[in-house]
Amino acid sequence: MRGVCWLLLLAAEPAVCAEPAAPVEPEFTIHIRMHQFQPAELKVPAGVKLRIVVQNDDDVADEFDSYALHREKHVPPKSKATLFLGPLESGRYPFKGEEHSGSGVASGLLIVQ
Amino acid sequence: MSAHPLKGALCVALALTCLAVRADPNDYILTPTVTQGERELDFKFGVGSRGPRIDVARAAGLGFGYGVTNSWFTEATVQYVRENNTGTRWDGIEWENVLQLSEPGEWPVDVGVAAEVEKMHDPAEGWNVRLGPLLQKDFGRVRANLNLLLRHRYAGETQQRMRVDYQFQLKYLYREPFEFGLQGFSELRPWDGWASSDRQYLRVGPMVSGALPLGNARGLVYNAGLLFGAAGKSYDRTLRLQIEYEF
Repeated sequence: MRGVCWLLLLAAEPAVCAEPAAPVEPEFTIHIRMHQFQPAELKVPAGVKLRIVVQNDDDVADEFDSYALHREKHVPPKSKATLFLGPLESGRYPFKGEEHSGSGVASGLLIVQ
Repeated sequence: MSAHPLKGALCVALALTCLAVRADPNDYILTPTVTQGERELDFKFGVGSRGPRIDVARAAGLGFGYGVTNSWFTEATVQYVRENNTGTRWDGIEWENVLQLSEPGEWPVDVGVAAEVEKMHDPAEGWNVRLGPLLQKDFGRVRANLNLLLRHRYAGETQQRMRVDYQFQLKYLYREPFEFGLQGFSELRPWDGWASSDRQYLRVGPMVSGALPLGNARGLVYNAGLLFGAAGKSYDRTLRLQIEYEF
């Protein structure tokens, strides 16, 4: 049992003990307002790791869902979620939000170039 | 992810000691990612065959799972088993927890922890606990998973030494409804002195998986595999299927 504990602690030590570092990846922000992504199209550079912040300005939860980017993230109301992507090849990567009655499903496009 | 939630997750994980889980034919690959607010009904089924004998063992489980936070998923499952035509019996209740320790893509490898506790219906089999890291990495459209799980049995009539399960999967993310690859399940016993291959469990074979959106935030997710025994004590063939209804 003691060996198990040491194994788990060693595996997690870099994450637990590391000082929070300033982000080195380019960071982009997408807002969710009235169940729509703003901007609906976001251009980002290819070949580098990216940090995408999804800021939900609405009073209800929403999500960022993209099979092309292999990401599904729930975003609580008045909160933000951070996604780490890439490096991505040039192309167009669609994403969508959560379905809401009356407003359908928000959609967006990540243009990597 | 800040350090404090991570330490809390580790404390919860370490509080759950390790136990042993049988190499049931309905075993499945655990993944380290969690979606907050996601609810699911999870059906898992498997049939193991040996030589000319088909359906030597059959196992099924029905569970309800919920993404409590953006880093904690929990699921309770009722397990049934049938072995050697002795009739289907209630096998036990399992409580599974997955703790997501990193955002996908944040670290070089996505990391999570699985912690499971199973209360066996037969008092002689006691309690089983399984605990260990879940690792996942994407190489373009190829996703690799590797899980190392320690397990041990408590309060059973027969003593068992701690064992190591490992699971692996390589799959190509072709389309959302259809992905394909290879998966394997193995049990190394005991954890500090692996027995010869004729006493180990190892099953490997092709798999398919995918997700089918149903609208209104509902969907079906499936994962199926046809596994072939590659070590002495494994079933020669195992057909396994997992279907999740997400809502």
